[in-house]
Amino acid sequence: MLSGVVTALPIPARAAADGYSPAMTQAGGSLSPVSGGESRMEGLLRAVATLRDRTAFAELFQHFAPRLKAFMMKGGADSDTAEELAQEAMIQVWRRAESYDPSRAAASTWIYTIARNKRIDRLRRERRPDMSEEEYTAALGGADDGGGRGDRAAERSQAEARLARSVQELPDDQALVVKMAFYEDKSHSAIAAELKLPLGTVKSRIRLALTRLRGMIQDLDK
Amino acid sequence: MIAHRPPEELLLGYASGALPEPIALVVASHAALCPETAREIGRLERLGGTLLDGLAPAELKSGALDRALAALDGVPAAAPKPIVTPAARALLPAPVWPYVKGDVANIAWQRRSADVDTADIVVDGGERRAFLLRVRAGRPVPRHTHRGLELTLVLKGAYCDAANCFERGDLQVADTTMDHQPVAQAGDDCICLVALEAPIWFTGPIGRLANPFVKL
Repeated sequence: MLSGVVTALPIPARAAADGYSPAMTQAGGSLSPVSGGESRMEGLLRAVATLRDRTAFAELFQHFAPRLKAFMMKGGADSDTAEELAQEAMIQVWRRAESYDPSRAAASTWIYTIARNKRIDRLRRERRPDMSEEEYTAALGGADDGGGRGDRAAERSQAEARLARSVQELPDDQALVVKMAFYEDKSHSAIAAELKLPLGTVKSRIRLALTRLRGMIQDLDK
Repeated sequence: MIAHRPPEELLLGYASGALPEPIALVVASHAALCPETAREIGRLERLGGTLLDGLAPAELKSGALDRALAALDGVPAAAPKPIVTPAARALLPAPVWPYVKGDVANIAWQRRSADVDTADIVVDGGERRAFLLRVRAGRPVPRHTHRGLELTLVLKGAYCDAANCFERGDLQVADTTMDHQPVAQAGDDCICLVALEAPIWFTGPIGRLANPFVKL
């Protein structure tokens, strides 16, 4: 059930400058061996975490950095800034890899939260309030026992693939508003203004999309 | 079991990063107290991860990987765990800790009336802000309406309005259609974390007189 938790722990710029950052604890104790069902990206992240493996980092970089740059550009950054933010996000991946737990979140989800927080820190110059991992664990009723972790990672990885397919199969009008929400961090009303649609239409398209995807997303909690 | 949870639109705004800091702080604080909300946010972040993975890659400048690898050597270790006092842990959800440097002694309470104190947590330059609100046991907050969203998360004690009662962890979302007069339950002062998009507007006979003077 803990797989719903994302373990990225952004360190807000201003808080860090104050000598204060959210508590960071390694989730769930020791890491289990890489299971056959774990996706390549998650295996690489764990190699970075446990072995400080630069080759694994390089492969993660080749996959994610160009996507992170695209993500930052969609969020309004120019090409140079987007590249710089992608670099910083990847360095944060290196720095925080130990807090990543593949039984809880896909590599892409964890890296998404790092990128999202970096975008808020840098492009909006705001601090990102977030739960510490400690709080997440407490909120979810205790630490992960580590049992069956490899199996869960395998199931989760298959469920991720199903989710990716369902996103592709969303009707265009629904896919558009969901992508605007995530890629461009736009509020419902900002999306409505940009598409010149009534707010209610945007809300209902997002609701329909999330309802469609919910079954798929919840499979990942099992 | 938390009875009052935020609508999906706010959770999506949090997961996608669209919420302004004061509103995001209250949503994160509620999530720290409410496992169901934490899970729901986790699900939406998963969708964010899927969408990130599905983006067409942008071309990087030549040498980008080498620069990243070179930068790894100078990366500092993760910051040490901050000290958070037991009183702060008991009252405040973790997202609030950095704003008070982990100590309730840093909460700058200001008296607003005989019954109400407030302490700013985030003021974002515009009219949006997040603040702690302390209402004395059994006493009301003046009747008011909203010109924007109002999020109220109960941290201690409880309060009721005409329709519902709210306890620790409950999040009440009020919009411009709501005119209400929350009353702290007897027995214990009620402390809430509140985010406002715009200043509230007092509508009661006494509160109305106070409008030009009180900025809550």
